[in-house]
Order: sequence, then structure tokens, then C-alpha cells
Amino acid sequence: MEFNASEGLTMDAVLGILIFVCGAACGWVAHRFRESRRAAMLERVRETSMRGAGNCSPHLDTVCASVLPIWSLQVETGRAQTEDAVTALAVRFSGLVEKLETAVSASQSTAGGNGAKQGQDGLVDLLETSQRDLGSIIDSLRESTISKQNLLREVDQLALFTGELKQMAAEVGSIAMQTNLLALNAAIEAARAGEAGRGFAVVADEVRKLSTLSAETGKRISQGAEQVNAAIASAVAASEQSVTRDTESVTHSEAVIGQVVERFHGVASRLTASSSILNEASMGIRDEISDVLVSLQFQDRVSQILSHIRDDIRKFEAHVNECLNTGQCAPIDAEAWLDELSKTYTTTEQREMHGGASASQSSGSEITFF
Amino acid sequence: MAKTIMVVDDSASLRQVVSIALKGAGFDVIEACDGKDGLSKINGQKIHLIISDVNMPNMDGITFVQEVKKLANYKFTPIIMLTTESQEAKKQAGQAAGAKAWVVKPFQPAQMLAAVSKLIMP
Repeated sequence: MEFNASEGLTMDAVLGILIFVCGAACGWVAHRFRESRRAAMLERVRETSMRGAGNCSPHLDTVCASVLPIWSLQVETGRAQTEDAVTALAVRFSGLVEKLETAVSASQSTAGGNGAKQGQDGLVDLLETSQRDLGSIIDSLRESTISKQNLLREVDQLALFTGELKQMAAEVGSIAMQTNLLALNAAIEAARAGEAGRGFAVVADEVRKLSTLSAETGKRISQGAEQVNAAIASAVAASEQSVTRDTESVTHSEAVIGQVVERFHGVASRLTASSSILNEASMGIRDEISDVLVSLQFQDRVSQILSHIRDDIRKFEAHVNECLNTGQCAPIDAEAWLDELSKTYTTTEQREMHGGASASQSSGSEITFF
Repeated sequence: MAKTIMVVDDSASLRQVVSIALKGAGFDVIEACDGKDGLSKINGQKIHLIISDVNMPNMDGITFVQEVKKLANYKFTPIIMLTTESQEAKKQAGQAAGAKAWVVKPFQPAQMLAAVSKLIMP
């Protein structure tokens, strides 16, 4: 079978018209049903009023007079209790919102960092400042070690001078020995000269004594230079050990500081991450609370609807009491009564229900700017 | 410095709900339980905006707006009517009294804040 597009479209159009006609018919039937139901209700009220005009049932009046205040009180109690509970709930929510904001603010301030929304005195900033300060201490210690190494080199130079001093002492000793030999030869020659060389022998003896003293002095200088050299060598060895220890200490301190800072960085990162999670959670909670705030407002609508019912019950109660007190019941104009009731309405659903329709859920949040 | 908003409503829960929304946005809030209470609390206070219910005991919202507009210091204070009423006649009465906006309850806090921001800079 061949498919004809124009026939398909025609069929669709016919089907659409049928659906529209059916929908319109259903709507009209529903409207008529509501209207007829309302008319029937008004008719029943009117008939009841007419039957009761001037001939009130004392029994019904007594029941009404007894029951109506209780209904009124029950409605009012329910309304007031709901109002109190919702108000308390709103106050609790208000407290929760404040506490949440305080917690988020404290968390962000503690975590710190360079983010515009985070505090400047936070842990991340403190950590960065501390790292810089500790780094400068390590630099100072390293400079101190370098100064000590320079001093060590200067002291090492002193050892060279003491070597020269020792050499000079040896030379003094050598000169003294040669002078001694010279004095000995002079004494021999003086003895050989006899009486004429006696004076020269005295001089030669004195020169020999001086050479002996010179040799001793040279020896002492040599010993002193050796002692100084040993002291310098000892000092240099001690200083080298000290420099080595200092260098190791600086390296160790640097490593420890690095590890500590790294650990703090880890903690700070986790804290910042938890602060972000808390912040995101608080945003979600704020959205939830926003929805709760909308829901809480329905209590106000309920309260108004119940207030109108309470006031109408009281009005009816006053009418019944008047009947009982005077013994005569003025006929109630049901339509006028309903009209008056409808004037007290403040919500759309009240007006819809008054017309016999079921109440639609209020969407709210309608804003009009003038 | 935070700006001050007066909330006039006979429902304590509604006043709380509005206060939470406004305080969360950094506003200071003064609460009044009806028009008469609002007038007694308004004098001498620096108030940047008023949010008022319509149906209230002692003094309704429309009368309250009319009375506020008579006060020289508050003649230009913007007023938002916050009510369950959505009838056009009531809205026109609010506009005639001097209200700047009409918000039907229940309101979304974000939309209320947008309306407030439109009338005053936060």
C-alpha cells in the first residue's frame, strides 16, 4: 500500500481537531458540573434557610451554640500552634544559617591563602612567611660557616710563618756553631802567641761564650716555633672539625626545616581542601534553606485561611446566640453570607475553592514593579 | 555600613523568614507586627526600604504606606508590598498609596533580594 503524505497530514489535522473539540467539550462539561454543583449547594442553603426562617429548631440552635465556639477555638488553637511552631522553626533556621556562616568564615580565615575571599592571616600565608624566615636563618648559618672557613685559611697561613721562624732559628744555631769554632781557633792562636796573646785569649773566650748563648737562643726559638706550630695545627684541626660539624648541622637543619614545612604544607593543603568542601557544602545548605524558607511561608497562607474560617464560625455563632437570646431567628441570606465571606479571602486558592473548583498549588514569587 | 530594612507583617514566622533572607545578604532588619507598630518604630530610624504585608490587624498595609508617605523623612523611602493578595484591584491600591513593588507570597529569597537590590543598592 502506497503512503500518501497529503492524506497523512489531513488525518493528523482531523485528529487534532477531534482532540481539541473533545478537550473543549470536557472543559465545558467540567465547568457546567462545577456551576451546577455550586447552584445546587446554594439552593440547598436557601431552602434550609427558608424552612428555618422564624421557626428555628431550638435543639439545633443549642447544638450550634455549644459546638461553634469549640470549633472556633479548635481552629484558632491549631492555627496558633502552627504559627508558634513555624516561627520557632524559622528562628532555629536563622540560628543555623548564622552558625554555618560563622563556621565557613572561620574555616576560610584559618586556611588562608592568596584567594581574595580568604583571610590574609591564614595558615597558608603563615606557612609561607615562616618558610621565608627559616630560610633566612639557614642562610645566616651558612654565611657563618663560610666566615669560619676563611678564618681557618688565615690561621693555616700562620703555620707557614712559624716554619720560616724555625728555619731562621736553625740558621742562628749554625752561625753560633761556626762562631764557636772561630773562637776556639782564636783561643788556640792566642795561646800560641804567649804573653802577647793573653788579652786576645780573653776576647776569644767571651766570643765562645756568646756563641754558646746564641746557640741556646736559636734552640729555644726553634722549640718555641715548634710549640706555636703544634698549637696552630691543633687549632686548625679543631676548627676544621667545627666547620665540618657546622656544615653538617646546617645541612641537617635545612633538611629538617624542609621536612617540617613540607608536613605543614600537607596539613595546610588538607585544611584548605576541607575549607573548600565546607564552603561548597554551605552553598548547598544555603540553597536547601532557601527552599525551606519558601515552604515555611505556606504557614502564613494556612494561617490566613484558618483565620477566615474562624471568623466566619464566630459570626455564625453570634447569629445563633442572637436567635437563642431573642427566641427568633432572622432568616440568613446565604448568598449575601457567602459574598461577605468571599470578601475576606486573600489567596487565589480560597477564591477558586469558593467557586467550587479544587484549589491549585500556589506558585508564588510573582513580582510586579510599579 | 549595612542598610536597614523594616519588615512589617503580623505573622511572626513570615517576619523571621524575610529577616533570614535579608540578614543573609548583609542587611540590618527592624521588625514590626502591623502598620501601627511600624509607624511607632519608624520615627527617628534611618530606614532605606520597607517591606510590608497588606492584611494586618490594627492598621493594614495600604493605610500604613499612605501614612509613611505623609512623613517628610520617609516620603521617598521605597516600599515593597509582600502579600498573599494577587488581585489587580489590591495591587492598584498599593500603587496608588505609593508602593514601588508588589510581591506575592510565597517568595523565593533570591527574587526578593533582586527586588530589594533594584530599589536600593545593597
